[in-house]
Amino acid sequence: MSTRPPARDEAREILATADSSLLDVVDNLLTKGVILSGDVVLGLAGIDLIYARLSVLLCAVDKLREIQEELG
Amino acid sequence: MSDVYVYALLSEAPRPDAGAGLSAEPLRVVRVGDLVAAVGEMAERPVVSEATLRAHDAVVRRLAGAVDAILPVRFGAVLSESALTDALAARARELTAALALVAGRAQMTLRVLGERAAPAAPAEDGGGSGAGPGARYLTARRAEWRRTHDAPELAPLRPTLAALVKAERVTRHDAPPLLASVYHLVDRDAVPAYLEAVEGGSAALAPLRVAATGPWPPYAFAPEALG
Repeated sequence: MSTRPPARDEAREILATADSSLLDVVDNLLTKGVILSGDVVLGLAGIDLIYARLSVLLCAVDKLREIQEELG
Repeated sequence: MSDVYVYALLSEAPRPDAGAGLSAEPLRVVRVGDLVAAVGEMAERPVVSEATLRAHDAVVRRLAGAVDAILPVRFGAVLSESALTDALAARARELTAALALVAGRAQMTLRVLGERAAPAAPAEDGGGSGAGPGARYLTARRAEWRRTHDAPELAPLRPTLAALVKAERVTRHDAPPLLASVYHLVDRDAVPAYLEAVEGGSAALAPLRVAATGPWPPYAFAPEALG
């Protein structure tokens, strides 16, 4: 997974227009906490890739660390 | 015994049947007291990918449409059926209460967008300079909880949303442009009214903006059932 964060303008545009998107799917399922068994690989394309990057970026700090700690 | 992948906890078994899971495996239910878990046989944890996330979500949504109350289970929960039974039995009271809260309701997601994070709330005195370390600790804990679980930006919307929102969860990001994600639990038949209220009140939030999406299964209102 690329770790390049989305450009600021790019992110703003995405968030402003986000609707029934992968952003929500990732947010919902990862906020609940994905159970990590290996590498997180989101092999996506185009706009969805940016959604995923952004979400994973947001999730990564907020959530995944907690989950990892929970899993010990 | 083979392992199962858990999709959701339900108030009742879906009719006519639960359909198929993310690997096209047939779904079945595991009952523990009043709790019903929707599961599929799965040998190992699925890889995290867009396809599997979407497939999991599609199954949960289908189940949500077939029952009155659903608590989605986090992605990737593979465990033995006996471990599942034990986990549900141990938390039956909490899970039953959570199912009652979400019955007939759906989650709306409200993202608060803006240029910068809300200014930090003024520090509390903590009961005066004479407060002991215990009181100061509790005050700091309370302030920290409020900082991470509150969305003061929504104050102008509160009056119109109050009657529609049955429960709220807040995740602050404070990473412009995304300042916070606010999850609202609303009655399923009140979704149009909720969207209307957000639309009608959004001008009062300027220069902040809000983006509402949903209805979703109540992901943000499901306790960690299998933690």
